[in-house]
Amino acid sequence: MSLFSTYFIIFLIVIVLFYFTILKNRQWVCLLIASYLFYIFCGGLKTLPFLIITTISTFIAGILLEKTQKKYECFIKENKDKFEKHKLKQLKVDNRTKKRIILSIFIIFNLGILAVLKYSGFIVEQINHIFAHNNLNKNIATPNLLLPLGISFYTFQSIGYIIDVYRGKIKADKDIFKFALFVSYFPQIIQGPISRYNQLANQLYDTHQWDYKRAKFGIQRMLFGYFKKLIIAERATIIVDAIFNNPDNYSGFIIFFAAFLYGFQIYADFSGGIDIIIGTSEILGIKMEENFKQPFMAKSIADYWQRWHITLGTWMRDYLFYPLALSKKFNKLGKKSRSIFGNQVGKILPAVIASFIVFLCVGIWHGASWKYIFYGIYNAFFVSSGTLFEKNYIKIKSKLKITDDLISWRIFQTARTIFLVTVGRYMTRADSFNIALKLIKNTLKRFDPWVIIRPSILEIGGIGIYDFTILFLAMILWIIIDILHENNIQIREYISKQDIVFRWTLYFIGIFSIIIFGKYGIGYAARFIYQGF
Amino acid sequence: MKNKTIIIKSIVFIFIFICLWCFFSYFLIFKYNYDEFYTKRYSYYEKEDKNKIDVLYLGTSSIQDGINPNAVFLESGITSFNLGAQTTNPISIYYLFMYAIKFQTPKLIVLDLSGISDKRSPDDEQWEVGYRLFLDTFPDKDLKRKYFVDVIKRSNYKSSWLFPLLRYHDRWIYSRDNSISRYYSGYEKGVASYFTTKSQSWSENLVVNNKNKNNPQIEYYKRIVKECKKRNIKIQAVITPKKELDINYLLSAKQFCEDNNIDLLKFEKLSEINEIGLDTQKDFMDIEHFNYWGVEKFSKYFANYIQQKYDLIDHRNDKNYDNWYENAIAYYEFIENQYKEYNKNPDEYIYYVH
Repeated sequence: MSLFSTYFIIFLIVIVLFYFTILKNRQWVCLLIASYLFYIFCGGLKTLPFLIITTISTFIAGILLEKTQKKYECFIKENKDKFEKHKLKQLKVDNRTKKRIILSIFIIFNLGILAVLKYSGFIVEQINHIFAHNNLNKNIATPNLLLPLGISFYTFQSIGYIIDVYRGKIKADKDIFKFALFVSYFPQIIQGPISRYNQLANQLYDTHQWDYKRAKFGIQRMLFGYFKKLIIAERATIIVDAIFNNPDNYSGFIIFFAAFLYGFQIYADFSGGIDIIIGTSEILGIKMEENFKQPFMAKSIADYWQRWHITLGTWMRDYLFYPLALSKKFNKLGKKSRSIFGNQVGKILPAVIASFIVFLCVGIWHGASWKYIFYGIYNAFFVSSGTLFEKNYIKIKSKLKITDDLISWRIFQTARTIFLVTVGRYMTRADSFNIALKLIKNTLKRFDPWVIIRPSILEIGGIGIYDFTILFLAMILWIIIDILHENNIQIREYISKQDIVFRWTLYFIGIFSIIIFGKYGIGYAARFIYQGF
Repeated sequence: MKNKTIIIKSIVFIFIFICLWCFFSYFLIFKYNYDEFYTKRYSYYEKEDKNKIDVLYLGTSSIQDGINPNAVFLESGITSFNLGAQTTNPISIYYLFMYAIKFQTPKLIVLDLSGISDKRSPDDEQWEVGYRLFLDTFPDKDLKRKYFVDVIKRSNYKSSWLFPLLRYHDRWIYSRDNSISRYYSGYEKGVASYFTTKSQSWSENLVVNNKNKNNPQIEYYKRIVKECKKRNIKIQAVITPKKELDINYLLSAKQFCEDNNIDLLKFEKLSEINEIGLDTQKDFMDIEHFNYWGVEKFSKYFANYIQQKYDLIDHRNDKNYDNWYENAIAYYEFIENQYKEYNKNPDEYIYYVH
């Protein structure tokens, strides 16, 4: 069952009916059953044990962490006057160490499951390469392990929970079934967004009344998601696949165009899925975090990553970047680097290195392949150098009398960012890093921009002029909507204030556009790109 | 009051949605009704004199393009009708059989087993057209409903069968003209014949191992066997001559026939084909279908084969079957005229259009 199958629509209608009627006093139970059923239908029964293991282990971790902290606090409260300052300090350190050990064990355990299932094949391949390179007659069989649905997403979400308990930001959940709902909540299990416990849990456990306007908005959001996925993403993939699977048949400009289109394809695919997920939750009365904020309006790569897959970015920031950048070791490194590189560089070097590590992890998170590692390094380079040379950058802008409110400067920033993002897409779309390099080389060597005005471009992948026109018009409409959102114009609110004839005409145009122009059914793949991560 | 308004609005919205759905369905759903080869063939079958047809041919395009009932009658006096169909599947064959025996009580069913080993799933784009063609042209509403239920059970895209607009939604760029339209004169008795010839050399050993997956779909063939036993109808299985006969298909067919005590006529060697008078250079339009001349030769051979095996009545001297003579004469006159049209401009000949 995929999010854009009729089974999912029927499933959702049944859940909504139960949620607001029969099980209206036990809505969280309804969601828990729905989540597990959804997981079984989508991921299969074989992968369910992994979800259960992560749920139980992180639940136990939370309880243990909180118990350890409570035990320490009670002990201190009772014995504060009996101990000297240095002893109290020692007890505090011991408590923190105990908690750290518990935290580490459970993080390593859950990340270990993820690592083994997702990366063991890649690691074995590299070991075999090393053996072959050294003429050793050894070969380890590449494991063919099942990758549970949404493992990257629910693992990160669960780890975020236990870190928040460790930090004392939230209290540990005492109800394992409610906690199981937080980990497995069905709309987000496939591809996020990665939620925080303090943002999501109470909403999941609370009772929500039926709200017609909220449900209407939720359905509209879902329709927009289907529009992006079925009309734009599935159409773009025809062109992108045709070019990337046979790059030698196309000029450099066309390859660049394919990489550019792939950026839109993956944005439409991922954000379309997120819209369906957020819209579904909205119907149920649950507000989820936004995962995108018009990334193609970004002014820089750093800005792009604050607009793209926002919840992964904030997760990395809160649970990796800050712990690294603010750690004692990095503090020492900062002091040392100030003495070597001067105050300006030395001050920001720890942040730059931490940023580099974060983006490397982001790259690795995407998949077990060198191309994703280099993708991480590529983005890390631009983000880090942006931070490192920010002051020089400001000086140059000032000398050239460029201010941020200039429209020409804004356009340049956006164009530059889109260009850099497109180059990055060579790596994520190509089958391997070597092929990505070859594609970049071909782009430069055989660059023929005039191919864009030749009619043959309309026949790439067999798409034809009609589908090309639909794709073009849909993308224009989507860009207009993104520009309106960037300027804080709430389209749903605006439409809801119009008269009923206008609203319903728009709704029917939207619904039947998706039904008629959507690419779905026999012959079309039924997956989201990020489902594979 | 507010809830009442919402309910009324919702009902009106759904009503408009259904109207629009029907409107778009009318323009976008690809109907095979225009293929009069099937629609007229059924109506002519129903018009046949009751209980006068002794043999029915059922199966794939191999049999549809394989046996001419007019030639069989002239050769042996056996009355027959051809209900073979292209891109068909075991479920269609079974329901065609159930339809056919409502109008006639044949003594023999000739069952083409060419497709016995193909999965022929309704979700497979290659075979889906056969399912849709059957649904759009089959005249028996009761059997069509049962067929529909059986198809839905086997499909992973059930909604596209319940709501065809979901299947044909992306056909908006095509015209509504049916590209699979074949003329039916009324004299054919179900057979389809083609004038094109593909001259080809065949190996002596026709059995090959294409490493096709063996997915014997025998459930519906078994149902046909059961119904025939109930009605005391004999079955003759056949696999018409093919340039490449997959070994898995052959073994499935042999096993099925052995299990059900059915005779299987098959051709594993080129010499067996030559023995019955067929010439692979002149009598085939592709690697597994006869052209007009191949149909005529094979029909004559097959007529004698089943006459000897099953002792069927020779109606040639029976005045009650004079209309069969008249029909056969009309058919061959028609074919002669069509052949003249074909020779004028083979590329633009539209009698049989794929």
